[in-house]
Amino acid sequence: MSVFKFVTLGSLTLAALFNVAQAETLSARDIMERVDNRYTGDSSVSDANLILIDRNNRERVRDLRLFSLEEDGVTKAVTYFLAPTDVAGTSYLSYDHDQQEDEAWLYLPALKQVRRVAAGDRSNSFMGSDFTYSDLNGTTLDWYQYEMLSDSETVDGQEVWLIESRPKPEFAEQVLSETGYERSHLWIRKDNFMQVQGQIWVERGGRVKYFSARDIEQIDGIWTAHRIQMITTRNGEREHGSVFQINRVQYNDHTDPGLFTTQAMLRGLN
Amino acid sequence: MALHSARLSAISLALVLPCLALAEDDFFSALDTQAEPETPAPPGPVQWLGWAQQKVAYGYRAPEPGPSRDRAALTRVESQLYGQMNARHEAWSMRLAGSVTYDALPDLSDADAWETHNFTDKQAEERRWHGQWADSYVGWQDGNWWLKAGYQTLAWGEAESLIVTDVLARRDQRWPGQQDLEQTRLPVPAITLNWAGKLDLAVLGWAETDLRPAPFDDFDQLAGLRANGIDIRHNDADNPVGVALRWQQRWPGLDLTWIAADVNAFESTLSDVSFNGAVPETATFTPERRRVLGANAQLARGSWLLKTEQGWHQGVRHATNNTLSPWVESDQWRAMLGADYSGFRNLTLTLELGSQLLLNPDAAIEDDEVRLSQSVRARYTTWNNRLELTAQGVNLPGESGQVVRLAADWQVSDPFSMGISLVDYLAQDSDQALYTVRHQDAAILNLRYGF
Repeated sequence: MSVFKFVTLGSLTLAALFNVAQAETLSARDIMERVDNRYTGDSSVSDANLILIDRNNRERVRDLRLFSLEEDGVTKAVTYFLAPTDVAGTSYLSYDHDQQEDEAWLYLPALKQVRRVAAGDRSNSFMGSDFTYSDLNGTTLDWYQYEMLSDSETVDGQEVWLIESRPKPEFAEQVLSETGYERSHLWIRKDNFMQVQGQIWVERGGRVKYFSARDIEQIDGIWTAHRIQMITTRNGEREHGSVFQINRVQYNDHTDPGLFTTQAMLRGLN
Repeated sequence: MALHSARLSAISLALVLPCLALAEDDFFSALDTQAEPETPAPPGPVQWLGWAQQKVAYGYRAPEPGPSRDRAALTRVESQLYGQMNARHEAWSMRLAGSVTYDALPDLSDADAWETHNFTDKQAEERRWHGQWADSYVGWQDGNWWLKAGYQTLAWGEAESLIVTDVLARRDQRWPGQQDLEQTRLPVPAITLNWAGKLDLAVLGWAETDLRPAPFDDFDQLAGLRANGIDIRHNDADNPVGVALRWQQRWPGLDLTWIAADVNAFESTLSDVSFNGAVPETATFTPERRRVLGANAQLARGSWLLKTEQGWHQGVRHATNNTLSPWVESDQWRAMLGADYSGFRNLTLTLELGSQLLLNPDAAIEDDEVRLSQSVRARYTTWNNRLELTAQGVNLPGESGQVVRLAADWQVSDPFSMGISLVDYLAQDSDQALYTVRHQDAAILNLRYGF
């Protein structure tokens, strides 16, 4: 499940209504499958600001353009950094495979080279933010076991399920390597199966991360969060925060697989 | 009194506990941000970026006799302005980029503002103002085809302790190991054609060589010959054109690249020495013609990225036992095995082993038949990538010496960054290539403001 899943929610309105009707019969695993399998458009392009906020509330702002494309068995996504100067031209390409290990490449304009990124790298910070590369790439549903903690919570006036996600013992090492996360609490809206909050226990340093998705509306029939936020805390204090401010989203506007190649990374957007 | 204290404690707890309960909820609430939501400008038609940079380098040891500098002193006081313009219209694109650098050291020396050695006219001329093209080209794209003509940086390899397949990039030999990241490789005039990100054809023209220091400046490798009164001449390559092909294939977890190149080397080698009687008068250096067949592979497995480069180099010239004899050719097999390990949080370790094997070498060649090299690097980022610490050690091929580099880079704000680095050259024996520069170590302070 990736940030792109957080950002967009394929409404599949009829399916959602059907699910709500059956809500009480759904297990935690069923709910997470609904979250993971939802339709988020065949493709999307969005413009965003990634705002990095340190403990003294000093901000750094990155301008991004993100593309995604659904193909058989793989979700492709590429992120271009447009500004400021120190990151302009950098791009990150990921292939989130259904049946095999995910792949990623990073283009650093200073080196004029596209470099493959090892999976372990993906537990590291995405360009200085509180999101990791694996948050963007997504992970595999089958690596986790899910437990319903509560089915009577509310977030922003909306009814939600509270689900705990822990890696299965046989995948624990792989999950730690690729995400750096031990376990998570996920708040899933009952009406549209959108994750609106998350509390994530990080393996090292006793840190806890807090995820939230806000300013949610439908665009072209697809539920979309315009503001997603991740805060890293340690000993109950905020260390750092990051906000994805999504300013523009277009769905199903392009189908060009050539955008999701290392050649396109070298070419850049201008 | 005890009751009073107990009540106060209870009141304090009552005040604190809700705060603690709220604190966790607060981490879910929206952070206040000052940045206004801003849609990035649409791509084109014209975009600009650039930076101003100030660099000060200090050579903290007195060099061995040879270069002009004869004491521990500042080695550079450089101000650099870099600009880049990108434009795109339909299938056409254009990039113009380059830098202008002014080294104030000769002028400071002339003005007696800083005690240092005297610069020769040539050194002062080359240092004062230096212009350098960065990638500047016109491009045209149609479907899977992408044609570019102009100055381009062609990075076709990654090995750090030796060149295996990275044979299309020019380098700056004026301050080895001290360059900015952007100038690890320099662009070359070329026409390139790319198909679908898989096939690259590159035609290189106007053969250029690596950037060299002015005579008797730091790192002038020919200072010894010059000191003996020998006139140094540099010839152009016989054939200015080079051709290279690359085929890249990607499978899940594996990238594989094949290259073939027939190009001029960017380093010149001794091709002729003329004598007046028994006294050598001139030494002529010429870029060698080199043919290369090679392959690169990268395999990602868990936290490991395994890398290899293999290349057969035909026509490599080697120094002989006689310093004043033209160098002789021998083919080489070059290989690199390396790995990146990123299993530790925010830390990436890179290890590289390299080898150069001489194939049927001439008996007069001074180099060993097998020359090994190693490189180790640790890179650690912290404070949300604001601070990056790097430590690297490279053992150059054939026990030529070691280069150690320690660096810290601090992103102060979006536009402003600063870095400090230490570069140390190590060699113990006089027959090691780095022996003459072993005291040309430097501490470098770098400030950059992007716009």
